[in-house]
Amino acid sequence: MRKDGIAMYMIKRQAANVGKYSFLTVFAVLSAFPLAWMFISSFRDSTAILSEPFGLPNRLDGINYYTIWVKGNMYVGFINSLIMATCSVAVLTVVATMAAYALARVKDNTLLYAFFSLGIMIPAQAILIPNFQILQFLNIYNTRPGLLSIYVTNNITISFFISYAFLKPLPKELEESAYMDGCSKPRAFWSIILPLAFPAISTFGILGFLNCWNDYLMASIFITERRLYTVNLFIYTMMGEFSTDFGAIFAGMSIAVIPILIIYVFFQEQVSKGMTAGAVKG
Amino acid sequence: MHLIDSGKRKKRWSFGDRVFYVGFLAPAFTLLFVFMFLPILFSVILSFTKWNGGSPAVFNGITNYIQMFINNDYWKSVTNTLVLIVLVLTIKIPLGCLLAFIILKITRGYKFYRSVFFLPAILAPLVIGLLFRLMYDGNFGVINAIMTKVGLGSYIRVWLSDSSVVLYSVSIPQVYQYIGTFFLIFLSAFLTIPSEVLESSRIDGASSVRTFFSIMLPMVKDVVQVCLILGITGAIKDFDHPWVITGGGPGYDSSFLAVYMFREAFVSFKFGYGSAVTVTIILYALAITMILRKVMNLSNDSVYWKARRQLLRRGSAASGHTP
Repeated sequence: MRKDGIAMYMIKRQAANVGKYSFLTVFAVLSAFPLAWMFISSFRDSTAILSEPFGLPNRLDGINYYTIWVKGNMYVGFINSLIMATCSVAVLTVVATMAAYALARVKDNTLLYAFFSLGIMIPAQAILIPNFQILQFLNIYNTRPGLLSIYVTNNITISFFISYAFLKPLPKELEESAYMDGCSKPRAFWSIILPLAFPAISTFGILGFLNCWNDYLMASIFITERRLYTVNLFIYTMMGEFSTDFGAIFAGMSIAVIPILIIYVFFQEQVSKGMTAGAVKG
Repeated sequence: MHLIDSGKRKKRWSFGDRVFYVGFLAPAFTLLFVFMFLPILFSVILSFTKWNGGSPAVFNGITNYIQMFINNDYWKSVTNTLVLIVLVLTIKIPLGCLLAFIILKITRGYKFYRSVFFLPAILAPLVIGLLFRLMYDGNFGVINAIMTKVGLGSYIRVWLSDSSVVLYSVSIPQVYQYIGTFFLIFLSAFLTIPSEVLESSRIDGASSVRTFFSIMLPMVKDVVQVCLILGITGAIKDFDHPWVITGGGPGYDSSFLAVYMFREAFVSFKFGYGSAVTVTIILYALAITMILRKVMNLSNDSVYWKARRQLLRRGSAASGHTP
């Protein structure tokens, strides 16, 4: 067989293909395995998990979910996380797009733009301690508005960047025709710009939702009352309370993860764009 | 009065326009000012005080900084963070890059692989951390189970209490979770490379490896720089993973800088000291960012870039249109 013949080329190509696909598949398995293990184990009994970590559940038994949701009060955490995340995104949308609109369409200002870029450079943890003070001073420590302010502030910069980049290149004629028809400026914002900015809003909105839902550190510091705990706080305390009921722990984690997965399944494009937006803007 | 006048140079703002402008900027500005700008100032001020959260803060000069720099636990956290950074640079970023490179070469399953790779990155770090903690468990953890099945049973350790490995046990979830993010970043970067460049290199007979290192990577230089900065600052900020797996222990063996800060401030109630640690965290992050920028920009003067610029100029002249 000639070393440089067609046959050899085809064989080499096949070998390379096998190599590529197996490498990718190995990683796919690695990426998905822990999650899969978590879901499968959440349907199993704790003793079964202890004896055989890899096994499949005998029956699709939701008892663990019941344990953690009702007896462990996980529903409180779930609802709290839902409230915090959706409210944060709502406030974030309004605040960020308004600021981006003012700077992008009305009058630009490099100083203000630089000020709004602060968020990217400062790690959120760096301001934990002072915020701890400030929230107490404003009497919103351990309250929903308090945590909300923190969440919104953490996400403002990236949301502002995304909105600004989106709004700036839009044609000026949009508002001009509105003004000529006698439309007021706020009205132009609400009825014309805001609906148009929907792609940008969905990008940073989903990112903000993800950041809020997945947060642990902020919530653990700024919320101390159990009835306001977010779902991640519940997971953390659950480790202590249910330390022997592993099935319940897996169920709890699954509950925390399911909303994110649902969002990912339906909005994969936006999620990917959002998570990398911060990076590429750099 | 119209603010947006195409063609008119002078724009006179009415009172209503001013109210509008300020009103639209105010909420974002206030939030950022109160919850970000002021805290930065307070952080610096607090770092020079001694405060336990209850009684009023007492100014004590640079005592905190001195205590910090002679504290072994602090330096252990710093070295731990450095280990994590090395792991990030040698594993997380290259793997993400490699995955992006390979996935561009396959024909089927592109979307599937892409979705799966990014999956861990969207989950809560706490959940991933807890998951790994359960996997490390001596009794029912899958890691030990897999190792025994594969025959590596003799390498099993008590992953979470053995001081020699606990740092790596705790670093792995962090590295694991965000490979997908870098994968996606590199992927979108590689996709911006015009296909003519890749085709011409293929025609010229360059192997895939050569193409990768000599053409693809330099063309996404900016993205590489961003990834380096992201990876390193991410390592410095990482908290959820070590906290939920070991709480930073045993002792401070698995604490990174962020964990150390948290423990000193919110567990030991030494807020002044914690603020000093925070200030050092910020300074390290800034320093690394600036050094990276300088190093990456220096190579802009390399021979490669000069040649590339020349080629572009010649190319556009040949096609008859100026850049």
